[in-house]
Amino acid sequence: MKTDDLISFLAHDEGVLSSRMIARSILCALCVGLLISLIFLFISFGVRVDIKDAMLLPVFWGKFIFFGLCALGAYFVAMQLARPGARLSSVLLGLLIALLFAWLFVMVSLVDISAVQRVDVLFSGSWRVCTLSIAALSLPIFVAAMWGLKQFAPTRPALCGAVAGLCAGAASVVIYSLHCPEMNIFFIGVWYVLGMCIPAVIGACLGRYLLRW
Amino acid sequence: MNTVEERLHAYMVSALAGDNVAYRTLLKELSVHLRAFFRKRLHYLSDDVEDLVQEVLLAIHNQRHTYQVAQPITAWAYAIARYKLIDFLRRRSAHDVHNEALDDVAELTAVSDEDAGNAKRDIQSLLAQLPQHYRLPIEHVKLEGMSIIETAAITGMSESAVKIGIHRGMKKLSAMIRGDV
Repeated sequence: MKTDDLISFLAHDEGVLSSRMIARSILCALCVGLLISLIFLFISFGVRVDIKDAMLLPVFWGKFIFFGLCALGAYFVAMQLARPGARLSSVLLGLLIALLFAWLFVMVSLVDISAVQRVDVLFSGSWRVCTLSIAALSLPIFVAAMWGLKQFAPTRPALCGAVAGLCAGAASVVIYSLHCPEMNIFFIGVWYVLGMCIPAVIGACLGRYLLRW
Repeated sequence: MNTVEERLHAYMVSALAGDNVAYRTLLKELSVHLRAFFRKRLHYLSDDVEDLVQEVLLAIHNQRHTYQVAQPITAWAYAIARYKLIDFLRRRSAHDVHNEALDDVAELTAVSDEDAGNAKRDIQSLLAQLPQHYRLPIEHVKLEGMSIIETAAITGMSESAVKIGIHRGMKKLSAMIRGDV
């Protein structure tokens, strides 16, 4: 086929799919993913027994706000990365950098706890369970996010997959926080964040294959 | 005198509003830029330039919903062209690993014809391989120029099925070119 013929072929237009409608269907898919994770949490983990008392503590809300912001920021960044040639907005990058600094600040400020105590806190109880549960709970959200990005055209698929994985991981932490009684900031800063990063790494590795277009 | 960006942007805005003439002009002008862009970068693979131009035009068509009007269209088209170029080179190097060049001598003397309009790959024959529920809507609407409503009546599909069939079929064509299907 000659290129001119191809152009005529393409220009017999069948109507453009509306970008807004596709964005909405992606949002719907993400909501379904979140709902599945939530149901899975209720069934297999259960909500923490002391949730009423926990809700009075700032750490409980701190977890929600920090990881909620991570998820939102990553969602918007991924949506921008999914459009060819789109510039990342400086507001979003600012938000992500601010979150990173908040995390670093908390981690560094806790370093002066004596080494022995730190190891105790870190490896007390449920670290393996927490990390793996967060990664597992992120799976439905991860699948929804990847499906959504496939409706668009990410030109840097590995990066886009990583950010989408981060979004799924952070959202998964928010859901998992309803169950996990762990309130130690140092513990959360290490193991929750690790759990959140697992889907991000998987997204970076699979992005090149899953998000090809 | 308008800049290229201003001109192409105006075409794209009209095209997205349903102006097929503007859309055709846009694709035509983009194809000229794309050809120059790829020819500069693929001088040792000049046979593949036209294939790549067509692949990118198809991608631009399939992905035109990802374009935001506030964004420069040249940046958008460039990002697509660059992505497809990288994808092509990756595919090609993977192919070369498994297929040793047996035609070295022939390649040396082969004359590459400069007919800008001809690709090695024939999209029409790829179209013939599509399953019917994709192929029929594409053939009726895009080759024969029927309306969606007429096509729906002839094929017995619903109007939205015709539209979706075209959209998915075109994406499938793009996947066939990549060698995914």
